[in-house]
Amino acid sequence: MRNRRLSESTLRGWIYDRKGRPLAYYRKNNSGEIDREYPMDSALAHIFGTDRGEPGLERALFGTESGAVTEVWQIIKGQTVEQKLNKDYSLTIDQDLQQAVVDQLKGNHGAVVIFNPQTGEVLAMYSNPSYSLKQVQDDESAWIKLDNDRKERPLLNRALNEYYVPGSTFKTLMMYTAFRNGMQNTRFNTAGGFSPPGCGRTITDDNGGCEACGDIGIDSAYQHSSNIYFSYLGTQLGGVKIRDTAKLVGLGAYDSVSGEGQGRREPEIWNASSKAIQNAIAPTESWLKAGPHSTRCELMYEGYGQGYASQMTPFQMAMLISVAANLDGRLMKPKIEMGRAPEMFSQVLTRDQAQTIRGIMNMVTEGGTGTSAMAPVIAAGIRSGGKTGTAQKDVPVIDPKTGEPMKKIVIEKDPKGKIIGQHQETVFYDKKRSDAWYLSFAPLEKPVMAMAVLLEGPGPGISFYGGKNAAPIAAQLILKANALGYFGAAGIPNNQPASPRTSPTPRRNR
Amino acid sequence: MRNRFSSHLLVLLALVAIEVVGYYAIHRAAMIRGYETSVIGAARDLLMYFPIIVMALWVSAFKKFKGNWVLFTTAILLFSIGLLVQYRLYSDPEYNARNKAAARQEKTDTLRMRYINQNYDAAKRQVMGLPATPPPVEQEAPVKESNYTLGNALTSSYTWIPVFSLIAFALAFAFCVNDSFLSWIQRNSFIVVLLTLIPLGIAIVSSSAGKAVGNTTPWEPAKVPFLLGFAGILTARYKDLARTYWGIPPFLCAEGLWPDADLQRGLCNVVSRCRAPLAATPGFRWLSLSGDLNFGHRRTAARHSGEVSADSDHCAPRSARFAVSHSTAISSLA
Repeated sequence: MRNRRLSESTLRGWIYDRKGRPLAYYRKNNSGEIDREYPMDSALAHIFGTDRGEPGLERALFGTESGAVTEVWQIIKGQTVEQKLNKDYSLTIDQDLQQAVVDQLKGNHGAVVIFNPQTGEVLAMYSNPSYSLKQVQDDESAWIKLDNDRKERPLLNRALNEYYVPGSTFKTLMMYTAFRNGMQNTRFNTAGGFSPPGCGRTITDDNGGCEACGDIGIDSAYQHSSNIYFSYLGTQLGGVKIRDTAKLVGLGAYDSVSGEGQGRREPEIWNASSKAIQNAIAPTESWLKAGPHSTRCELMYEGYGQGYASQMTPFQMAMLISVAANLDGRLMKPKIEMGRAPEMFSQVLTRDQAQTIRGIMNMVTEGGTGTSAMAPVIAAGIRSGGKTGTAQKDVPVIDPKTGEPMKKIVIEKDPKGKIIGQHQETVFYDKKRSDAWYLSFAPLEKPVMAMAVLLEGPGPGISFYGGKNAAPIAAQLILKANALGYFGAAGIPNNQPASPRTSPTPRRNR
Repeated sequence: MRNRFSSHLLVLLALVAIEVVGYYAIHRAAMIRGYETSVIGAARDLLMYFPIIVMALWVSAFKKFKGNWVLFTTAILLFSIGLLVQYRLYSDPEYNARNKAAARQEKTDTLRMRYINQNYDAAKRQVMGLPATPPPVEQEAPVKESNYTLGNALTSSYTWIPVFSLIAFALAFAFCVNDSFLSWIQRNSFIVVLLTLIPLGIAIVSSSAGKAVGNTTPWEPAKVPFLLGFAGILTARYKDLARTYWGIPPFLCAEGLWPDADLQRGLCNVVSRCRAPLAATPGFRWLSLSGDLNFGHRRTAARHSGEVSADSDHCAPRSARFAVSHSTAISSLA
């Protein structure tokens, strides 16, 4: 009771962006009441959260449990008690960049996550569609309506908590694994595709043949996004090497698809001042099947981002690209609170390996699958690196009456045709939805932004591509960051390298 | 604490001091929340301690009361807590408001504005749409001022009910130290209990929405004749009750009430069938011995270890054997 009253009557602290502009503050309205205002409203709804549903930063930063309660003698003395509840916070979010992300995602379902790869700072993170914090705050029925919207799912933070098939962007992990294990010079003749014995399928590129044909190396394969090469590379690397690298980049790697822990929240990935903050913005753990029991056929698919590598969040993919974008080849723990010292999550690559990989990624934007989309960036004199990805995903048919995925009853029969049972199955569209990815970092010389752009395809069977649809958004965001001064020496805030006191965070065995 | 009047008087004075602090805290907390508590009401409440202390002095000095003061002090302690809680509740506009949500919101807004005025800098205030400089603290007037007047206090049931109670207490004391009055009550106790029906009848007629005169619970006056009559009945039937050890089941006597050998002997005297408690006794002692080696505070048992079963009749052989074989045990129990 005391805490409830306290939280009602005590003002929360204000939340500022990295440049000191208020993102959540109080304002006296016309009727004299003091209202919590959110200038960016829906742009930060998933990060801030509301008093309903799962807590976001608003509740994590200013929970009553985080501070002492005022005592009688303090009231008598007229003493104001300093509590976390009313302490102001600055986030690493850049209001302008966040707004640019919102503008770019308008009309699309998807998510964008932008890190500073040198420090782990989250510069922008947004999931579309979103919802109005103000509306939900004032109207409980609005919340219920949002919660029941199974088609649009506006309450879902797609950046942190939705799985997507990574498609070709996953080749980045394969490339890291190859470099880490001295297999970066592996060559393969892609002519005729790749058909490992016993798997019953020949892997080809998107054109049905090979896009980079002949005896190619990892650079050319990555530049032209060769499914054939990376499928072969996956089988050569083996499950154990892939697993080891996966763990270093924050992925869950399991030797079985039916094990426990898959799909758990991963709060410990954050460099944050409290567990409450970590939990409030905890990503769902992205995972793949990799280990000593991975079969060649499984690795064949995982090599180019299909099969059992289909559970990736945009947040995880942004972390993945951050490794190469980090000058030292480190994965920095993401952080959203300003003023916290950077912490390293793991040392994935050597400095030289990271530099080489950045060079290969640059080839994607200057002669590879991302070239046309990155033309305005190149025209602005900015060199960047990236990776396109297009992935097909089954999508359920939504019943317009209930708003729920449609189900059908399937009759089970024995070989003689006798009915032995029945079960329900979700109905999927015949054609798959194409989701578009683009992983990117800029500038090439000293990256200060590493991002993942994910766009859900507009519908089943509609053409949608990473290079054509997602990469132009990344290009606009790079230009915006440049306009905001991030790429100039003076415009790079908090760009200090990782503190040497940090050490790799031990990962639990999976 | 020794049962001396001076000690209890000190407790009373300490209670007054704590009450003063409590009233000030409530007043201060109310001002912070934008309403004013009644100073007159607080003064009236605190002045209640004057007749209480006078009463205590009268009972001690003039009536030469030498009994136990704990009951009196405890009653005043409870009265003090009630007084403070009532002051807190009835001063709060939220407690009395029809629209409690709106009243709470008013308090919340006042608290928030106060916090803003004290802690927000000019820049934040301007963003909020407030003047850069907050008003001086001394200019902060409570949103709701108390309208409790001296007239209200003088005519309030909250004033007169405690005064009436104290007078009733004085009268009751004066009567109850009188043997002829006690004898009369004892003789007519059943009639006195029946008098309970009169205030109950009045309560039925006069009460409304669970309240009667002075916003009191309607059955309060019925307690007086009931308790008086019941006390009379108890004293009249004292010997009969004592024979059943005040209605306590015998097995509890052995396990729960095991003070010393005196009690054991007493049990054998008053309980007609003492076989059961005594049968449980060795088991209980065995439990005590196995876990406890420091029973030094039970000295009575040691004093009576040699005469444990001396006065017992049909319990004697069993108890005596026990006493002999466990004499050291009894000693250590003591």
